[in-house]
Amino acid sequence: MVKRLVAGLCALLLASPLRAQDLPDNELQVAINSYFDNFNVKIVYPTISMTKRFSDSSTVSVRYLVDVISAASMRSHFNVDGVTSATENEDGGGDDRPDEVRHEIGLGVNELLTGGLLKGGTFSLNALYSREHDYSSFTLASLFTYLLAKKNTTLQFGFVRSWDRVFPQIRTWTRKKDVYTYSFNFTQILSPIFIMQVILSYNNSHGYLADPYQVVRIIEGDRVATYETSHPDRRIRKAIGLRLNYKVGPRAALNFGVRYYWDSWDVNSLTTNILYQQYLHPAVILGLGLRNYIQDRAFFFKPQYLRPEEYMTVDTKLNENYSNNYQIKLSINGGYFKNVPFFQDENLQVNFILNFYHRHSATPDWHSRLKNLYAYILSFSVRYHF
Amino acid sequence: MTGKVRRGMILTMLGLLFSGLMSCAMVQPWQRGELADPIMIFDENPIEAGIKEHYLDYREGSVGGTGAQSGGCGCG
Repeated sequence: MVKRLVAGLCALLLASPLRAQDLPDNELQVAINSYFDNFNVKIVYPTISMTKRFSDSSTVSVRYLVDVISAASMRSHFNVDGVTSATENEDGGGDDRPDEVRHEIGLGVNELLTGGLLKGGTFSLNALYSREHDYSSFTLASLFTYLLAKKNTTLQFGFVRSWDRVFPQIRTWTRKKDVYTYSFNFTQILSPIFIMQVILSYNNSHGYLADPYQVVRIIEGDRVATYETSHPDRRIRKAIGLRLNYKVGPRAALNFGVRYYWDSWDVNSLTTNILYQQYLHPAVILGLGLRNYIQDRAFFFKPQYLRPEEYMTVDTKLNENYSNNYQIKLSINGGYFKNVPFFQDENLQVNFILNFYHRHSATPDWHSRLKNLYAYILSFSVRYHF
Repeated sequence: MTGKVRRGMILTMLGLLFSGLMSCAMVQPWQRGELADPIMIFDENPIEAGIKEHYLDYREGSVGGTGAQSGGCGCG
């Protein structure tokens, strides 16, 4: 479970560095991010990334990330009675030490095509490798961006391929997971102060899709038997999203988004979000965001299993749930505050972000036995353009 | 959510898309000053967007449709 969180947090490195309009600028970014919740999961993950333009048509970017995680669920002691890979009874770390440290490196190139049929388009390719003591992942992400109608319309075609390996500390096997993601983004300028984006995505995952650190407990007579979770080995996931960004006067903008998601495990969800950004000063931007999410449960999720079944899960994110996320963000650009040493450089930007996340599930979480998750996500980053 | 609701959602989004396209006029380069403002750019900081996107991906059963690229990375 926690492996996914950790690894998922790093997938941000796959986020395209491209704005739709052009190649990214030379930039060095250092960030310290942290996550804390009432399920006793604690994560600190510093990141550093740099993008450098080598010519008018090409840039290279490198990124490095370290995750340090501590999670109560990883320290669970259990034997598996059911299935095959019964196990040693190990734990993931002491209470005063991190359960896991993961290192990850990414390398990307962006190329502006200056000739041929696709002249004016931009192609980017990013490679990412990550390894920890029980999980490894290699990903290639490509994105082609093309501008039409005097740059009023932007089309983006994305393809991501991942090769993952799972070799849990408490199991004796190694299993594969393969992921293919296709995406299409359509961005349209509607007026000098109004822009819209439609996003389609198709994701095909197959292989080991369960969480090796979760177990299903079933009452059998006068004892409680413990089984490994078992998920279907294929999942097709589809989503369509719409985003609108509207300038509200000269100093503020309103961003609205809606997404509908459905998949082959019968998980359907609806997400709506709104973000208001306001200049408090020519160099200071305040952002306030709200996001609501609601989903139903996977076809094989049950609050309790009476007997072993082909597919069993205790994963709360496959349960019926809803969530709300509240965000406050402050960005301060350098160059305006001549008397403040750190902020004298106009190439500097400092960002503070606080997210408060609440998720309510229909039945208690398998490990914490709580229905409500409360999490704080803090980020501090410095961006330097050179 | 039923298939009818799903189809309704998709049709609504497509309807908004096409109504938006039909109503838009060509915006010339010299009219795009407001659009170049950082607060008007979708995912102006991709790393920041990715952090938020993926802690949400982990907490919830959905992925995609938000603009950020995502890969295997054990998120699924």
